[in-house]
Amino acid sequence: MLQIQKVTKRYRTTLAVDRASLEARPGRVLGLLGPNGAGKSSILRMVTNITWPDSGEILLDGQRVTQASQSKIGYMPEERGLYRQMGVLDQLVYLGRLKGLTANQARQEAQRWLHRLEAEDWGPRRPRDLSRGMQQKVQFALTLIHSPRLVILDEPFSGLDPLNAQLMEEVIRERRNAGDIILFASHLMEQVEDLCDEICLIAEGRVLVSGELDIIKQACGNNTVRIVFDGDDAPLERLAAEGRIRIEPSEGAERQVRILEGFNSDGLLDALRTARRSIQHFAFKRASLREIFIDRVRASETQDGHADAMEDSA
Amino acid sequence: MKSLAVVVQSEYRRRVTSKTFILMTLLLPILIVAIIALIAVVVFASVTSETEMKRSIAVFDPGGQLFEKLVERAPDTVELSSVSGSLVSLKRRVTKEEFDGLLVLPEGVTDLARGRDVYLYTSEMQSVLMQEVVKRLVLGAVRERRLEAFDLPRDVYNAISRGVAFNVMHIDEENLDETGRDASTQAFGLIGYGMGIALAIFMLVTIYGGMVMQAVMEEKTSRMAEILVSTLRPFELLLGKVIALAGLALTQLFVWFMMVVMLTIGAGIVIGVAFVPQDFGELSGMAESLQSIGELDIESASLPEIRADVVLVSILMVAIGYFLYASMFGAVGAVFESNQDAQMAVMLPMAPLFLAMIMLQTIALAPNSLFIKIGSFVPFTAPVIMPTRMLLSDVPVWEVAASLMLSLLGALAMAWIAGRIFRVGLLLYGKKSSLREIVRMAVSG
Repeated sequence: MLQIQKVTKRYRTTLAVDRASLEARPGRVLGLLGPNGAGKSSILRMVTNITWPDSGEILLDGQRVTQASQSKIGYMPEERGLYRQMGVLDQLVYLGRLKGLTANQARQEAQRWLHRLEAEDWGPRRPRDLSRGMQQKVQFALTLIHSPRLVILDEPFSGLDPLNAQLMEEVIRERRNAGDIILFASHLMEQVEDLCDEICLIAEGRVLVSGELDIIKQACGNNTVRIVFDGDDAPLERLAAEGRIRIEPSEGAERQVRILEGFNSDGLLDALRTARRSIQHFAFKRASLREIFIDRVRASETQDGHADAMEDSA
Repeated sequence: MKSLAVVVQSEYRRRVTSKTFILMTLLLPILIVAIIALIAVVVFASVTSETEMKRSIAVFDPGGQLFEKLVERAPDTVELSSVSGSLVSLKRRVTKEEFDGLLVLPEGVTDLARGRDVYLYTSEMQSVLMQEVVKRLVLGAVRERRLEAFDLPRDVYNAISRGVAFNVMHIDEENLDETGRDASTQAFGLIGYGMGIALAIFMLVTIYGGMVMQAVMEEKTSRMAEILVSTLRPFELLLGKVIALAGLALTQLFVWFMMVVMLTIGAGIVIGVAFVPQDFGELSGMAESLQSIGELDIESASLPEIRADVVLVSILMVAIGYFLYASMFGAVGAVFESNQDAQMAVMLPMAPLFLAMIMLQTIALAPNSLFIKIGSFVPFTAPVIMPTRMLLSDVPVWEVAASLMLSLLGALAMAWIAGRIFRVGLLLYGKKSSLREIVRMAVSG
């Protein structure tokens, strides 16, 4: 288990990570979500022992992360590359050995991973002869060559075609099912929704929400309603003018309405009934992760103090 | 430290098998030997022709005091003829190349009370050899005439002009009954020795330290840096490169040494077959004739005695000096992202080495000065200064040991700092950051 406990990291003038706490469990994929500059990379760099927290603790399987932990971690950073002049197999073997494998083990594992990633014959080739997507697969193999306990992937799918992305997703699921801890940072919500069991939402260095993806979606999805009714929109417009709801763009006969704070669905129903509208359809919309994300980040930006309260409740 | 071994092994193997390395290693000595051979042939040919060429010198000796003596003493290559007339018309004949030179001996040139200036007029640049020959010819003749004026036998003159050998010997408690060790202050030799060490470090660092810098920069530009720092200490990464390239240097030097030995043997056989031995006889004859003309004493320029302990310390210091300066190059590579940016900063790490060279100039004047003493302990200058100091005076063993230790620690500290900068560089990737900012971050983490 990876535990990040009240970790703070400050670069000279900016507070990059502010008392962030989160947990990633074996056999689970944890998605680290956040806008650019939210502090995702700063957290990952501390987990990989590239930098160190100013305060707080990071524990991997109960032990503080040190230089020695690095061999248990496979890290694919956002800024990633390959040696230009070295053959693919040589690079894999080199990194494998640096991660603590013997030369023979490293060679075997390198072959195995090239095979798994459908790249058997790439061994002697140099990165300059490979396309960007192919290079990315080699980087992926580089990350996993020593069968790390903790796999960290920072924007792993950026610039990857759907076919290769699918292959990588498959491998990630394999590793999860084998009981590895997988930490996955991205701002691509769809992929996070597909792949993650748990998510952790970060903005301005703070954890806004964290927990099971399904539970969060349920908890956060209760304020948008889809309605179909006869008659004009006058009652809705009145409520909107009063600041109780917000009318969102929609198509056809369906209206989409966001219920704002201090108001509820009963109030909305009452208002429609009083205006003698006959309601044909009234349902809560299940919010997408994107909506939750935008919502929460906006909320934390406008109500700084409130974000702390949400963190506690989540 | 297991990672260190992997880095050393990988870097070494990668470079030693690279085509550039193999090509350079094989071709460079051949090129150098070819150039040396060419120079030797050209010099040999021109010197031979110079010494063999006859020179015709017109002698204007209105007093008639010296001409006879000159002819008597002149070597075969100088043909003298007595001329008279106006100086202007004689000079004109020189410009028309009737003579190679016009020697003008003023009246009273052999006077005992005062000397007179003698002139040699030539229309084209005469070789140093030629000038020297004529000068010694005239001086010798004048001296002989003066001796004759006093009616002194020649042996008296020889006896007076014979020198006295002056020796400075170093003694200590243990060997009072022996004559001691030669300790003459042979400044030239000493500075030369120190310069040799400085130059060795300079060469090693510019070639192999430059490669360390390239390798570090490559890891940054190829975006491998972050993966690497998440895998091992940057200190090990830097140190590994420095060690691997030292190994590469040793490999290259060994191969070159073997090649030079073989080529020399080969060339010796070729020269032995191609040249008739008497060619060499002529060359040595040339030196002899020079010596016989005047009192040209080629004082045997003896180098100071080189002791085994000094050689050992020197070799260690060259190695440590390379480590220190190559690590500094690594740090430069960690700061900059492109060759162009780094180019300007490359000379910066070399500055202390130049300082050491300047310090060498004062070492012969005051070998025990505080300045030199401090310089022999500071890691940047110690590799050059300490061995030189040891040659000059007896340096206590503990001082030598301390100097070696300090230099080694300095080298390790430099590799550590370079690693630190490498780590910090990750956080600043893509941003233009001032050197000050990087250094401050490297210090504070």
